[in-house]
Amino acid sequence: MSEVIKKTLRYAASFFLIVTLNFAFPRLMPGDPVKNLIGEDVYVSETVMEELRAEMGLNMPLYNQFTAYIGDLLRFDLGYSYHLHSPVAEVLRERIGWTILFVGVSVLLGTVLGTLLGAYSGWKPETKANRLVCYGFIALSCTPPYFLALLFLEIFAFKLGLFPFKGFYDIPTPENIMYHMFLPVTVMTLFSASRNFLIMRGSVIQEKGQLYALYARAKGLYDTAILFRHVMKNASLPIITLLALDVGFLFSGALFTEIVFSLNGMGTLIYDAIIGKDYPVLQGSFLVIALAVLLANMLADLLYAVADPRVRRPA
Amino acid sequence: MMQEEAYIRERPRKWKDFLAHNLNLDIRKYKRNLKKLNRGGLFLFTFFLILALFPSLFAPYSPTERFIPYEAPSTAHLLGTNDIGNDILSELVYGARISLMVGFASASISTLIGLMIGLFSGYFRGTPDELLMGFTDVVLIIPKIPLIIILGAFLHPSIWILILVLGLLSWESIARVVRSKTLQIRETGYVKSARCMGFSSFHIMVSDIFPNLIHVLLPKFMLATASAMISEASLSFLGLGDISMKSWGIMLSFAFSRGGFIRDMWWWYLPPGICITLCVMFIALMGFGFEGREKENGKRGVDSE
Amino acid sequence: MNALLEVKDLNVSFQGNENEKGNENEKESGTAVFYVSFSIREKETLALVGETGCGKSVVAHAIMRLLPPESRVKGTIEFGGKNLLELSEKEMTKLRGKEISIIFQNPSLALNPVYSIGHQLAEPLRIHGQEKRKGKEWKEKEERKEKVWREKEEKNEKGLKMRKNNFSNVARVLKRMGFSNPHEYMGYYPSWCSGGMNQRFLIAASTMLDPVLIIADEPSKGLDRNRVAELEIELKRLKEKSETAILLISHDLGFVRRLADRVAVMYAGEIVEIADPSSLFERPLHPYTQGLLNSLPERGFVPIPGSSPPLSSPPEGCRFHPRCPFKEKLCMQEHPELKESNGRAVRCFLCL
Repeated sequence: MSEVIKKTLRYAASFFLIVTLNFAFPRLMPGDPVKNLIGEDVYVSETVMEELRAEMGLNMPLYNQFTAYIGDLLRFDLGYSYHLHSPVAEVLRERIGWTILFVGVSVLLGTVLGTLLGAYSGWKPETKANRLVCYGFIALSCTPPYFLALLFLEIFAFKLGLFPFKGFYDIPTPENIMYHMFLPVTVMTLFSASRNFLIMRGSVIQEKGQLYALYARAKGLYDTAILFRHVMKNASLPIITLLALDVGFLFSGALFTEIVFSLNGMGTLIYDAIIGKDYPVLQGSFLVIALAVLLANMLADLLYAVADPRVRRPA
Repeated sequence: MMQEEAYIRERPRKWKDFLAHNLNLDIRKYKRNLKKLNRGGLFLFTFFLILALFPSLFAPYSPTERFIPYEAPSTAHLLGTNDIGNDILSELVYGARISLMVGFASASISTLIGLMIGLFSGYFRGTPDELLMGFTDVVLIIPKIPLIIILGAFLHPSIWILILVLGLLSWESIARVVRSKTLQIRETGYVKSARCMGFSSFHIMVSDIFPNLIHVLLPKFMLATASAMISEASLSFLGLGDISMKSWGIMLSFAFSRGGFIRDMWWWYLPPGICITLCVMFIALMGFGFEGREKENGKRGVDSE
Repeated sequence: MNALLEVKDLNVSFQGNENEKGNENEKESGTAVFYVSFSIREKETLALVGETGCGKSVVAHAIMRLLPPESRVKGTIEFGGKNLLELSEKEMTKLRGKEISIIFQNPSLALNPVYSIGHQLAEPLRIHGQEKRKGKEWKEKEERKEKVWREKEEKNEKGLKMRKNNFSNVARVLKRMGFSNPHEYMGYYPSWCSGGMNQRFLIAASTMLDPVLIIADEPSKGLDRNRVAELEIELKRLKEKSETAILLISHDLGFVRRLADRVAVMYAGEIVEIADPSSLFERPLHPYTQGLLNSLPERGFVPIPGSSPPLSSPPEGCRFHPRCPFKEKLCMQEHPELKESNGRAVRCFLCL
């Protein structure tokens, strides 16, 4: 029970840290906080700046500012983007759906592909083909995601002309969206699969030496049945936690892929915000991504407790 | 005894066995093939290292020297020139230094922080351990790249800030590993006897525990270097790198944003990307190799008990 | 009495350093088992004794064909008229768990930590249940059993119907083994139970399908005295009630003496003596057997000098000669054969 409390405390602390970081960035970073809060490239006169300063409460003590900030958060008020002339929450809501679709589909595919292949590769004896696949996945995992995206874009969209190279859709029908998403999803799937593959492979290699695997064979299970019925379940336990920690990384990978394929999701939003120094959008994006990762981790913890009987041992 | 002998016997083959232990591949049968690959990998990494240390020996021109822009590869410029007329090959050679430096420097910072936190919490246990590991878990959850992006956007980073930020944000996994290893080591006979003899905690940590952590730290350091290099390249791609220090990531980013990609100048964007990938891969492979060795040693240790 | 299992000239060698001894030189291949021959009759308990690392477990795993791929197995293992070493993996899979089953020495590790006890015990039924239709004999046997069970069940528990036949079978077996509320235990996981309990679950799983041969690989290892006694009772009941032959592998001589019908002593990969327990324990022939018995606490605790030779380079001549107190010149030069005389066999020049 104390473990649960400890975990909850840690999540609460993480949440608090994320929120505080977000609060502190514009106020502690070099430069005028007003500029930091509205974005650098917005040109406003001195008087408007002072008005804004008062309006945002930047003259108040930090404590009051913080409570006001928390209040804003609770009302889903993430500030106002002067570049896009709309509230940040609004902008994010528009973009995040696409990114979640994109990340969700590719992570799902990548996880399935990566874990299955990884398990199989770890289970089967070492052959040339096996080793080759293994090195292939190591190479993939060592490639910066956007470089992979660039290569795919170049080869399949520009050179071969098989796929479009821009945007989520021309006309919003499912077929068209799938056609547009194919390349970016492939890139992200490979990226996510490469990480899962390596983890799963190592995990299975470790597990296959365990006695229960031998015992399963002694019970009369076929080779692959041992892998899928006995070894996989044990080997995927560590994957759950690692996968959750990887969500942040995959999310970032997705951002880069979006930029390369000019998909109108969070990635391009962040890219434009960096170029335009649109700080409110950056902060909002960070907050949303960080909270998503936090949620993923909590989910993983819950899942782990369900999947591993050792955790829920009765007293 | 047995272990010592095995160790001595293995010692001369150390370098050859790098990949042999990599990822726990059951390689015995294929050792010969792997040795080839392994030597190749190490050779290439050394090559990158030499490039980084003595770029002037290999680069045909200075990276800032200007020629006609957007030139295709020729005998004068093996990889052509970029948008402002710099020789791309020279840029690539000089970029090795910066990319590797970012990687190694930030990995050093994170290894150092991870080592200290892990060592403290593993050695003192109890409340400091709870607090430090709690803190580590809390930090671990915060997604790194978005955080670095936002920091980068506010700070307009020079390469030093970039190194510092990357180093400060990636020590958690090192701290965890060091902690668990320290917990093991502190229960061993020599540490206990050192404690009984009244040596100070600091002395024990430095002279008894630290030397035994090197095996764990080395692979982690390598992997941290690899991931820092990828992070640097990614940030550069977003325009958050240090433009005055042209790393491979910056080259790639310029090739993308300044027309190399649209004009189909593969000799501009392909080489830096391939260099990053290969270099990161070799470093990671070396890291995996050390990790595999560590596991193997660990297993043997258990068996001999 | 005809032989159920006939092992002839079994030779097992390992290439590379992947064998369980671990510290052999990589290039040398170690021969773990060297021309081992023995047979087990139906319903007989044969014990294989010897010190750790003499190759007992390797024999057991070779019979089940569970050795890692780096091993080279030669010789013949005849079981029910078939040479097990020539069977395809598929045919072998059908035999495992149904005809021959094994009880491992470390029960808590042999059970899969993420599945419940009930699930794991029902697994042999599930796996081999699919093949029921194929074998006629099996079907008849099974039907007979089922009839008896059903009658009993209807009588005792007024036709209580379980959701799954498999699980009710499991519960029955557990009940037979003395678990008062099997359904509760079936929901448990191995990590929730003690080693002794897991051991019993393991035995239950291995005997679930009434195999003809059970290999018990050091079942008493790592258990404390009480548990060993319990285990002994368990195995004894197994012997009496069912028609199972047991290959009992152990280094615990007292345990062996109480259970075995015949005892084979192994040293450095070879069988050095085979005899029935009473004559073996009272009048051991081979110097190694004598040494083993003398090292028992009740016989004075006299250890055999020296240690077993490494399997990669066994000594010339008789393998035991460096440690043998009676050795002669002949022992160092020639390798003795296993010679049989009135019901017992021994591999020694001096004991004939």
